[in-house]
Amino acid sequence: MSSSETRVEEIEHKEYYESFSVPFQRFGFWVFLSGEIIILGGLVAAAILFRLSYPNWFESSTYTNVIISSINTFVLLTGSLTAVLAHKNAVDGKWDKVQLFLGLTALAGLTFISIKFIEYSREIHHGFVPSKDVFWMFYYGITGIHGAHVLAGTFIILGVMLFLKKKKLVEAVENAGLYWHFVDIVWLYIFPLFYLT
Amino acid sequence: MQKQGHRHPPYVGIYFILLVLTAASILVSFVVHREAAPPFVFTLSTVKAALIALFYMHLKYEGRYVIALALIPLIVFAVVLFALMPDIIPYQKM
Repeated sequence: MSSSETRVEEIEHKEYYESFSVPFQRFGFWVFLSGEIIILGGLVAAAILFRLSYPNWFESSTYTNVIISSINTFVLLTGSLTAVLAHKNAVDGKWDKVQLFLGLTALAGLTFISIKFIEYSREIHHGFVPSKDVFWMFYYGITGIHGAHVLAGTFIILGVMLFLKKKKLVEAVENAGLYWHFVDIVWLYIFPLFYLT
Repeated sequence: MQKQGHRHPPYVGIYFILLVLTAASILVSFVVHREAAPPFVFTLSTVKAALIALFYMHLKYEGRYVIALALIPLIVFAVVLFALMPDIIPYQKM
């Protein structure tokens, strides 16, 4: 595809989104997401500050499992793709595919939670409990809260799948996807904070 | 209301870029010493977050009110981070 075609496509997409005012549901959902950014952002900011100041942080992080967390990163990113493909198909009116992609997103959420439980059990078995030091306190606190959000996102997706059987509403699919993407973005900072640095 | 038949961003292509950037983050953490890795890996995380926010969350195509709702908490986040940094870091290193 040439750059001029890409540009035309971008303009078409921009015009499409600017052609109507922000739907009430989406605006309201963004207000909710703003609050979530403050809550989870504050926690991650606190952890980053301790990462910069706590000398044993990077030593403790060598005990977390990079392979398991990399698989979970892949699972969440794949969930984001299927969530946005569900929205794309909803906009195009292909509702059978919407159910398929939402189902795959929910499956990604359940897979993430299951893998996280395996990871927790391994760490606790090796004596890495929250009271061990500051790193593990932050680790269980932040990944636990994030995991709860993934679980909530999974239930939202499943709820939307049930809701769509009664009424086909694009905004429901979009808002469920927005929540999933938000949870995904938070993980993109948790992953390096506890596993790579 | 949503229109049908408009063109969408290349979602699958963006997904593969996200996977490549994730692989790059992991690689950097092994190549560079863990203590020195944060600037590199957090920059890559920010690029990935921006791709998701702009294309998957459609912020690239949103109006100013929604963009403000997304940006204001991030500004608060940055202010808190930098405001507390001078207090916490010297205290911890004493």
